[in-house]
Amino acid sequence: MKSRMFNALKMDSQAKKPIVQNSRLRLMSTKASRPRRIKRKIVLMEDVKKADGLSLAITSKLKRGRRLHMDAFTGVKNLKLPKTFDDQEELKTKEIINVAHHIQLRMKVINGNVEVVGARKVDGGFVKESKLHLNEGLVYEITKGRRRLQFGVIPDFGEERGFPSPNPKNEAEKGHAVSQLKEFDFNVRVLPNDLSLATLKAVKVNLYRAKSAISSIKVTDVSLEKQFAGKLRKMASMQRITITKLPKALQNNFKKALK
Amino acid sequence: MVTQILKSGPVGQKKNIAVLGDGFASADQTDYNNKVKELLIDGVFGHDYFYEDKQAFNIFRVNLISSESGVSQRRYNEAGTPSDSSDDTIISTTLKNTALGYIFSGSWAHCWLERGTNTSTLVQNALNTWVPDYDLVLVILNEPGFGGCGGGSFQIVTKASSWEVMAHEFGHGSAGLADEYCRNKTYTGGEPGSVNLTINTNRSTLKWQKFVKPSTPIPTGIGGCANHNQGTKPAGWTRDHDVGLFEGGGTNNMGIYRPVENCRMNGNSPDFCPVCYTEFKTRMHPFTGRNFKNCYTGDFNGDGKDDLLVHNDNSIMIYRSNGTQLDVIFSAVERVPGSWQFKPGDQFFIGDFNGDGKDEVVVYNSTNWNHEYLGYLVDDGNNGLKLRARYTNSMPGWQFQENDKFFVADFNGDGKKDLFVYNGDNWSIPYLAMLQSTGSGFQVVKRYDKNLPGWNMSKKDQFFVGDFSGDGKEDLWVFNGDNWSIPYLGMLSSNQTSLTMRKRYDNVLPGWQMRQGDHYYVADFDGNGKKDMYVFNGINWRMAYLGMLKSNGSSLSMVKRYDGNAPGWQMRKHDKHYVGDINGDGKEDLFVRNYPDWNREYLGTMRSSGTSLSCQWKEDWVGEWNLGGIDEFIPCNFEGALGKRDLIVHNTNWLGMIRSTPNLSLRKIYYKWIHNYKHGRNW
Repeated sequence: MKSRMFNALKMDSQAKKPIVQNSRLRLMSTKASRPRRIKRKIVLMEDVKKADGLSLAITSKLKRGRRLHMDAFTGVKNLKLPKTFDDQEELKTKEIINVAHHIQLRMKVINGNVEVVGARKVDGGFVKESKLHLNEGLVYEITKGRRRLQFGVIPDFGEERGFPSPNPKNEAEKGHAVSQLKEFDFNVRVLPNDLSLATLKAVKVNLYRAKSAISSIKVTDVSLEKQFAGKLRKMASMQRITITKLPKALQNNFKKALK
Repeated sequence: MVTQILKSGPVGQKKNIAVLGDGFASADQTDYNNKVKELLIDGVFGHDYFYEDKQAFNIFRVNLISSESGVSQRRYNEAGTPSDSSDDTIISTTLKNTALGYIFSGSWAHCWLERGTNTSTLVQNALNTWVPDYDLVLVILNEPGFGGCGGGSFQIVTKASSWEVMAHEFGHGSAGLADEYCRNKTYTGGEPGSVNLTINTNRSTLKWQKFVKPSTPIPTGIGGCANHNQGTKPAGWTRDHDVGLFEGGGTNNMGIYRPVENCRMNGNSPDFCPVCYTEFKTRMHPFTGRNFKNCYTGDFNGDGKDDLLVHNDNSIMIYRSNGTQLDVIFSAVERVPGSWQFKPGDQFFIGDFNGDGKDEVVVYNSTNWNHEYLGYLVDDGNNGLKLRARYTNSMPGWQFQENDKFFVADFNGDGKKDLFVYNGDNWSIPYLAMLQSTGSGFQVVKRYDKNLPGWNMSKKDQFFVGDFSGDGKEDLWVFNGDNWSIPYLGMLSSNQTSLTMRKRYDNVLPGWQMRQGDHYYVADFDGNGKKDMYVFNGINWRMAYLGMLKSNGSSLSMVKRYDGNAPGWQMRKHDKHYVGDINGDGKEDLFVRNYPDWNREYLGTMRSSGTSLSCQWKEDWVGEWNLGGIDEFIPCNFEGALGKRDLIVHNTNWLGMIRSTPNLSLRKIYYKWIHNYKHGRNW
């Protein structure tokens, strides 16, 4: 629906007068128009009878003056096709040079602490969600300084469930056997320009638990904690990534990923 | 070794499932591969929600070779209390040398299985090595006994597990859904966070109230793990799709409520209920990357009703029309058997190419592969498609190029649709070929180089198809208003294997001065079996003009020209037309829409009497559809009624089904995904 404020023009089914759209243009007649000039010349198609054989058809030079023609048509031929086909051949690929990539951080939550356990560069983009939809579970938020780099929901954490028994010996075995898990992992994906070795110390990860449902709400620029005050409770956080305190292998992974 | 068995897209844009095997020796790898297929691909991803949204997931199968076949075993003395693990003692442990070191116990209280000393490290190493982007992990044990243990995005199952239980577990793991089954206890806590459990019995604030029919009592079932027991159960009631408020859930018998009698989060086997399904769809929609931009209609099952094919990136979905709504019938990601691999640049052409009364699909891709490919997809006998023929780079007589343009037409009148293909861009001269369908593929029966009979082909030739001679063979029309000093229109009749110029109009048609901005629409507006032509020009004259040019089989005559106004419709510059048969009288009509020229959006119908038009329109809204500039329209026949009186209207997130008889009205509207809730909807 468009604004009615600036343009009051509405269609009228009973209108008798046609709408003049451009008064500088002519009305249509039934006579032939005057030919227009193309590059100062009158260019006409050949006469119907002649056009079968001779041709003035416009041909264009392609690829630095080389004229390209299809191979000659040599009559109807039925191509015998194989019964099965190989995969189609991947583009050989000029694109690889400029392919988008992102940085994936592997986070581990163990005994209530968040730590980084992996870092790598991954080809391709990633889904940057703009709405928070959280009923039960956790949401993480990774920030650099005051700027949020990414957030995401972790739907399943903290418990282990045995499958219900197909031949239950008692009432309990008709359901899950539930026990608590000490640790779980999740992925964080960020843009390569958002991270560097020098700024890792400003990177913070907060983990919140939903206190009440948040149903597809657009996330603003303020922190999740502020925007959803009363609906989220902070469970754990990682205050910074100190590269020198990480295991050697992980340090190398960071250096490789952020190069 | 890792094999990606579901390729939906880049790992950053999808949820990635890693599948590992433990206790599978080298001789067991086929068994393992088959089990992955049976449980995950054919099982979980072959049914309801996961079948629909395959495109949100990548699946990586890792083949780990264990030194020994089968997994380690542990036996417990359960001390007569099988559901209580605290008093259990180990009777025996038999260790095997396996890739991940899992130990199967077969004890419910011990999650059926447990990790060995190094299992966590071995699993992590395998994941880091083979699938570092994992979001969910499935481990299959080479163990015939029943068992499975899930949590923290992991699922470890034995070969005796069922896909239904696994799908239930994925409900926890990927959508955060709660259990809906009941056990012998009463819930006493506050409102649960889970989307599928509540303690609230107030209809107006119930979290899934939008799915509850007003006539359904709330609560619907009262008492221990109740089913519908409040009033009479209405006819047609289903246990998994009719939403109400049923006491029992979340492993409690009373004091808490679930949305349906029996959902997959309760009994494993039923479909996910509307509440759980919608939670999945909402969470995963960004990862499917889907929209409604690329839609095509065709009658893929030959029931007379047009179905819908939606293409997104590397997937297609087919939705079956029952006349009033669409339902998912086929979902393919990455490829269909045969095989054709889908890519974003695929162009689809729909028609009955083998004369079986059902539409098939020709798909062309000249941009995403190292070669140009033309594929011919036919019914797979199971409501889906499979590849029947594929041409790489060329077929005898035609070399494919990037800007090939295809037109579907039965030019030899054998009841099988054929193809015209034209290329005016990629060669030094333009080419046009007639690709005859053999039913199982295509062959070039004629090629024109540079000239058609009586016509010098040029870059900007516009082609249209339609049988203007009424002999059952679809002919070719060609217009060029750009490359010459005057506009030309040619009528080329098909004689099965070649074309003959019947009539060429230079500069002027009967009663019509041709101009560059003419738009031509082939339509049999008088219902005499010969295709006629509507012509519209909104830009080259002082006012907009619309002409009706009748074909006598070999030439055209003007039967009516509207200058400025058609009866009931004020014509404007940006009027856009679509051919249909609105009242099913065999006289083809026009749909017309205009967005930019008014302060409101208009959609109208222009019905042909054979010699004149009468128009009706809707302003701003058609039912709940808010007309907008980004809307695209496809005339079709999803109702299976006479003529072609329906429209599929679509934009990025919305899809609507509009019918035009008796008036323009909306039959159905879908947002983000196509699903027919028994009551309510997802917005």
